[in-house]
Amino acid sequence: MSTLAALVEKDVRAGLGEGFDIGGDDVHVLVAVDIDGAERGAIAWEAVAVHTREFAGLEPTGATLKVTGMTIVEDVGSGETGAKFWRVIDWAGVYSQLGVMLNGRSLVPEINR
Amino acid sequence: MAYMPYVHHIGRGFDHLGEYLSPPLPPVAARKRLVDFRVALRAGAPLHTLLPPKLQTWVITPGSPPWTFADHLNDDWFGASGKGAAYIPPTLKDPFQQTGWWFQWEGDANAILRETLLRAVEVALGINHNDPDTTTGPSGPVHSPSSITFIWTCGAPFFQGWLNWRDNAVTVVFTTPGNGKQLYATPRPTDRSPDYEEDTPAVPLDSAYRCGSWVIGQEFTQLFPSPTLVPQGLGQGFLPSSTSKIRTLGKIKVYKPSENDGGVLEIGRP
Repeated sequence: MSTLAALVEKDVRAGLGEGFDIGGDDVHVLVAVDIDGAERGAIAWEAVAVHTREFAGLEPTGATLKVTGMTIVEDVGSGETGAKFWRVIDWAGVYSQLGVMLNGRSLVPEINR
Repeated sequence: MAYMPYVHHIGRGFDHLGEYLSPPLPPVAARKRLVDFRVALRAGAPLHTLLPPKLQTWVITPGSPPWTFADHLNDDWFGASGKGAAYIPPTLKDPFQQTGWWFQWEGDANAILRETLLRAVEVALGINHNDPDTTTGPSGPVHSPSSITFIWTCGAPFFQGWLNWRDNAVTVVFTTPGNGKQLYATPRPTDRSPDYEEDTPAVPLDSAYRCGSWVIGQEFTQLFPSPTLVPQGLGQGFLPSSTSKIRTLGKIKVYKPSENDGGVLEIGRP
């Protein structure tokens, strides 16, 4: 596994792991792209996670989810202590899998008719 | 058409229906209206044909053809089944198909509404579901049926009907998914129809009228949108704290929304 992929997997395990249990083989790299050699790179990833702890104010459901995201890493060469992670994660998909519903109403201060 | 700018709504349609099913008639005549309604419901008559006459003739938007209350009920509330198509219960394998205007919800709104109305009328008559259709009701003196008030709460996960009663008053609440309409962020309405009123310390809202529907809440609302994308260290700031958050703040305010905003006229809709 490349340094880039290893960094992203550690980031996913550390971050997502605050609310979910993740098995040993449950973080998968979908696409890896190196940018500027060792300085920057991008990883599309997915993780299978079990909702075992409070997440975003939601009590644990025990549900097994598939979480997908894209992470761009800056300063790859700085390793765990120096790298920076830009993450775009499909939280809407996570909420959907947990049964969290949008209520179909948009809040506005004024309604023009 | 009214815009349903609150999550709570009575408005012209439900007020007409409530008045129709709470007629100021002698007990036997009042009971007969509800019994007739029950008989027609059980016979399977389309719901729009059972509406009070003032709703059956209500043209919401003039045009060619006009958009009527029956159209609104059948299209927006019932979806395809309201347009004459037989309701076909989906299987677990069927693709999702939204019902009417109910945001991300599919189900048999028509049947839920009908069953709720049927049970509401039976509770108002003081009879059980398997009792015969009779205007005399339980043994003993013939009492007037209970009054019925309809309330619609819009913004729930799914469509349900709720019956509540105490003594001689039945309250029916429909909790439905959102309908995509905009929602006032504060209890303060922007509709300034003549029947709108605001409570003030010097001139409180008057409770002496026959009908009322007031909203009480804090005067301001603050939205906290989801955070923007920022770089973080390993494992830091990974989980979202939640979706958008809402804070209400300020004084407690009391308003009487206009009928157009889902309130009721002080004299009702007789």
